[in-house]
Amino acid sequence: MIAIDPECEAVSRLFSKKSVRAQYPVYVKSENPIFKKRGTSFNLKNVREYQPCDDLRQIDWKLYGRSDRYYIKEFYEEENERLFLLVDASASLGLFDLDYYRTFIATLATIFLKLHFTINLISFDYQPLATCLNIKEEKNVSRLLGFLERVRFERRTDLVSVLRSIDARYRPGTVFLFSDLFDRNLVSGRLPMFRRSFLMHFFTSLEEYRLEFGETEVEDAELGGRLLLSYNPSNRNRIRKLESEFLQSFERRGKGYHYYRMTRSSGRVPCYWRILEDLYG
Amino acid sequence: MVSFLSALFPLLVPILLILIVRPKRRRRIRYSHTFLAPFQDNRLRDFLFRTFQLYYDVLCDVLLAVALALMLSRLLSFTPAKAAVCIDGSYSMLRGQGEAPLERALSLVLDRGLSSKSYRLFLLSFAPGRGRSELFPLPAASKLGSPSQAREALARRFPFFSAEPSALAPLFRQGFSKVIFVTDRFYGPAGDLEVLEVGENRAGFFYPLSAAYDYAAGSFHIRFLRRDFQDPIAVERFVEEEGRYRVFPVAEEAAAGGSLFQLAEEGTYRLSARGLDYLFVLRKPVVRATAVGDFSRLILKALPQLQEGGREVLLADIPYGRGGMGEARKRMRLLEKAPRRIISLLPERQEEESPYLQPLTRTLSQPCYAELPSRLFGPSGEPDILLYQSPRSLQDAQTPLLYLSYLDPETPQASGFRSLPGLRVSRERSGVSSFAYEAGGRILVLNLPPQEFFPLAAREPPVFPRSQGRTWPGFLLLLLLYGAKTFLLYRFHSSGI
Repeated sequence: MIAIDPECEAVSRLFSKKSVRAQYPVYVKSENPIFKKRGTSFNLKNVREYQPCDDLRQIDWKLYGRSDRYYIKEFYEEENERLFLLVDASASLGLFDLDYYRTFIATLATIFLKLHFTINLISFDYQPLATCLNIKEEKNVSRLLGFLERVRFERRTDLVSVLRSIDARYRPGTVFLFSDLFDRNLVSGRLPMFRRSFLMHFFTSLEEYRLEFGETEVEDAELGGRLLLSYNPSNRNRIRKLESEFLQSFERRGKGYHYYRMTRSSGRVPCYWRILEDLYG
Repeated sequence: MVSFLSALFPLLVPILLILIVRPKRRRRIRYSHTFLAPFQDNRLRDFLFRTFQLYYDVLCDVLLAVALALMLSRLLSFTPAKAAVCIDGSYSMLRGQGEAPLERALSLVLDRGLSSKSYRLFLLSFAPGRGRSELFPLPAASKLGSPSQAREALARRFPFFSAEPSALAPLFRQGFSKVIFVTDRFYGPAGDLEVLEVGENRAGFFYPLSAAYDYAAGSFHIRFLRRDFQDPIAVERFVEEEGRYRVFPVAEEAAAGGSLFQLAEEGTYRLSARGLDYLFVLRKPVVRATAVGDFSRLILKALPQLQEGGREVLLADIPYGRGGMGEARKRMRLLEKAPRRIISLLPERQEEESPYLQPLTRTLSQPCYAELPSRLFGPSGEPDILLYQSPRSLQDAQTPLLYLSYLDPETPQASGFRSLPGLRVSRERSGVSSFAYEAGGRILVLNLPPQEFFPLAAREPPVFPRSQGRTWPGFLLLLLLYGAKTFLLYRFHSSGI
């Protein structure tokens, strides 16, 4: 059973009250005026004479005062941006706390739903595994939770090919990638980027194992390989350096790129808030 | 090679066991290899370095095992290339007229090139201060000058008294490749020793055969042998008040097998003539003894040197047989305080008229040593001597002789002392070729041993320790390996770096 953080409600309510709400990342579904749907936005589509089947509430009373005839104003349809949440389901995620991982994704997705976003969930390892598309409104949280519960962390990951595949198929604008980024084929500089990318890095440091100096066998859950390591002060320092280089490679700044590193001890709520601010900013 | 392998195998067994156990004790974790890829680099240098980091301790252990096996099997030996050449420093090396054996020994050393840098020269000589033979290092023979000059210099510096070949043992322990002993004549097998004989000089001498108290005559008899020696022999007696010897007027008498001096008084005497002298400490062999038991009382009366009334020696019968155990225990309690104890074991006690009847089948009426059950004496009640005795064989002349041989056990000292606490050489009492010592309130004398004059019967070859070689290079090697292991342990396992 996946738990949702109880602060979820408060975060979404507080954020919806902020003035930045005016900068909602809305978009019109089609750019071609012919196929633009009629909706409830403030973008005027056209003005036409009243027909008996029209809703009386749509009559433009000011125009009626000037022309003494009934006219109706039509507006384009708008909706909040669709968010793609890509859930890494590779075996290496087992190193991290999976409850933490699932709770984080579920809570963030719920906040998005409360803020009227449409979310698309895609799980993947070395290929896209399962999808749960077009989840709208808070009442569909159960779909979201059901999807996350069905995710199994078993196989190797191949981030680059998966992101390319998703890009080609869905053309996502805003992507939230939840991953430990443990992928030997991944060169961070060549990580396919989207219009807006939010990288949630669930990282487990080797130091968290509190290894004593000596002979240590490191088994890679994804590759199944074993590495015999002499864990000594010089190698410890080398590992720290390699780890630091690995992390720094994802911390680069760029337009539309946001990186969040999560550890087991990281507080989740501040991260939700930061993500929302970055999303709206 | 076989001994190397047989030495190496048991040393490798624990290392193999460690290698077997090690993977079971290895810590295992699950972690991604993503950024640990450099630790899987297959380049030879990286691979070797990683392997070294993992197995440096095993490598050090194997190296130590191989070094130890090489040293144990003597494939790796730190024996110095040098050989030791030791010249005999005994009396016989200076004896005789003309060229002395010592000069011939020095010439031999020079002729055979035994004074080169490959050899170290020693003199095996008597150390008067310690009362035993010792090794004295000498400069190379070429630096000693001519043989005659060297002889004079050595004769001034060393006593040339007696030299015991067993004192060469330190040379074997020091690890010389071989030990060459240059002497005038070596009797018996030499064992590991390489002996070079230069031949002895024959010259006249006199030598004491015995010094004993004659109870019948009431005087001490010093018997001696003359061989090609006609010089008069002076007898001197040490005068305590003056602290020196004074001539003691006594005439030499002819005796069976030699000559004889009869001396009525106790004291320290010196017989001297032509560069030879011998010391004698003459004391009447009176021993105060206590006898317990009929048989022991008989012995006490029979032996003249035993006087009743003291507890220096305790003679006791212990009837051992049917019903005799209780009495035996009682007598054993009596024996406990006596410093010297002689026990006659009487196997069977018979009737009063024939108090001690000994079965001939057991002893053939001969006195003999026997074992007494230890339960009779207890752990500390060992007697000094135990005679399995038949009273009926008292007529046998050998029985008192056994007691005599025990009661007067002190034999003349010749080669030297093993170790005596407080040993101090008495210069005023010592002679030219004899030494007197004070030790524990007694005067002890050392006279020239008979082998300086007489050929000895074949004797056991001297046993020397097997050459161990120098130990410090091996120790240094092991220390280096252990040091390397410790350093690597510190380097790879200490958080201090």
